[in-house]
Amino acid sequence: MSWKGNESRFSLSRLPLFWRLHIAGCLLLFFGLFPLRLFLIPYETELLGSLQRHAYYLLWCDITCFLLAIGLRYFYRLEYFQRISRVSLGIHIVFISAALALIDIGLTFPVFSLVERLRHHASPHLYIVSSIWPRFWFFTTWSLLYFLIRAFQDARRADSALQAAENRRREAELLMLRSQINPHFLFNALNTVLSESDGNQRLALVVRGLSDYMRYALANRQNLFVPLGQEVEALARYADVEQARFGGALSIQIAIDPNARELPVPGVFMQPLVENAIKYGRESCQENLRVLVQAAMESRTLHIKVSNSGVWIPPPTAPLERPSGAGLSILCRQLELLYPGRSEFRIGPENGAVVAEILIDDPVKAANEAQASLRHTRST
Amino acid sequence: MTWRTLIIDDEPPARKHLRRLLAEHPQIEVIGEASGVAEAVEMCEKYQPGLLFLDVQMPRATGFDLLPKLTPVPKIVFVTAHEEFALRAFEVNAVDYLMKPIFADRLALALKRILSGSGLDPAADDPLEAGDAVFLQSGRTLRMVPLRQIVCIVAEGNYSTVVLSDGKEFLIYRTLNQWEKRLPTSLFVRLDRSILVNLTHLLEVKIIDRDAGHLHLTGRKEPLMLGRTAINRVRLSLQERQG
Repeated sequence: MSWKGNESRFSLSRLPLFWRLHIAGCLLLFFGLFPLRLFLIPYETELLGSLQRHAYYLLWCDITCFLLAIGLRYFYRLEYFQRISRVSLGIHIVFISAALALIDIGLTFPVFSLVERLRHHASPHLYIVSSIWPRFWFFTTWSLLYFLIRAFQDARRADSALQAAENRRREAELLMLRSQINPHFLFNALNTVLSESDGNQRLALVVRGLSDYMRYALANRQNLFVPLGQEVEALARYADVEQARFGGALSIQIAIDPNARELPVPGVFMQPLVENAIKYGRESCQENLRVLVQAAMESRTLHIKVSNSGVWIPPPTAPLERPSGAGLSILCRQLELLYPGRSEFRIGPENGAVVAEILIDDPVKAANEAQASLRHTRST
Repeated sequence: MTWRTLIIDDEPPARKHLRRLLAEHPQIEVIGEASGVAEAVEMCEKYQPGLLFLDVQMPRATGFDLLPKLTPVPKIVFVTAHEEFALRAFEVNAVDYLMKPIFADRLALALKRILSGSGLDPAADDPLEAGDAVFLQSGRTLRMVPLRQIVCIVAEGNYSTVVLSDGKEFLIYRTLNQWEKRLPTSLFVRLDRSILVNLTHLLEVKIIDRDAGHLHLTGRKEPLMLGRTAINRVRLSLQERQG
């Protein structure tokens, strides 16, 4: 439809809210008050052109106010204004408005004296006193409206982000439930396998790894966070199973900084990294594949690293930030959701190995925030 | 001393597996196997075993249904494939549990615990959750009770009486303060010095006058008499739950 085509080129509704409100507000103010302002101020009617000149002057005043307010917007975007308290913000607004009113007077006075030079009572003192109040009120009101609307928008945006997060969580839960095997069936079946194994130790080890990992995964599927130590413990059981599958051709080592063991990490999230390392590592590695899992804190950031001795195979289509494989993309989504802006995932070749790395900035604080925001969504 | 032991499980391979693992422990003498609760009751009466390996999930009746039928109460190791709710032993050192699949070292650990009489750590102060169940033993009866079935707990000095929704009462060696520490506040409210009430079993509150009221609870004909503070507490906690 052509109408839609037009819209994509330019449309008022595509203009950011700020510009729509600012332009509309200033136009309204201008047209609403212009006649009043024009005739309220006494001028000598006998001087032809005085009315016209005065109109020019008023137009200039409005343009300066319009532009100064736009400048104010960029000023208010400084992070500083998000940190200070409401009272302090109010005080700031008063002073800033006063300062801007003075600047505006400075900008408009030359025009005023030019336009009104025939009126001899145009003294700077009188001018400042009579013009400072309307300007001051303009900037104060503008600032208040600006912060009010911004707060309102922030709240709405946060709400919808939380809503989206909650929806995704439900979605994931639903998927999990759909694909779930009845745990009774699973563990009873494994018990039967053991009973028929006639004491085979290697088999017992695989069954143990499998059942322990599955039990951990089942027990923690509802938990947003678990201590890193627990996650790694379960990962080691998963590694037992994988090592049994490939015999001596695969060795998995886990090295965790003991200080990092208590840190909260998302539950059941590291397994796809190891699975991926084994899958792609085996494709590219000629000899025995070595997989190394490391975790340590480095200056307030938790580094979780899974490296394999294979060769980096670039994904066929997508750039690095979109890792291949359902497991890894779920992992990335999980990280984004739990740690908005605080985590990073990267994968690629490094010193002759393939390294997948997760960085979580201040994991304790991030976990607390995620839990608080989820509680908030659940309660509303 | 050898422990006369009975294995109760509906799956023959599971019984075989346990029997083989228990053969490593000379102090255990397996005297029989049962494939269900009914059979187990008979065998318990006949052989009076000192130790049971009791599968929780069995057709027709669960392992827990066997408990009230056991006198005297033997030591019990519950065997479960997957917990529906957390079993937190409570002042019952006759109980332990094992998860399927059963491994030799974990079995050895559970045996060591239960035979030495320490059982699951009853002193553990980990708080209970609304979905949990506790074992209550009073004299010769042992029962597994989901917390939701507890109507109220009344202090009796160092003991306390636990009242269940079916009207049964258990006198437990445990003070009300100890209960209060572990019970979930989402269910239980301490009304005054002598009583903890499960608010989900609250049927009616009758205000008699400014300083007294009656509390009607599930399964109890007689209302509880309460003072002003207690009534206020009920009101507050009900408001909290609605808000």
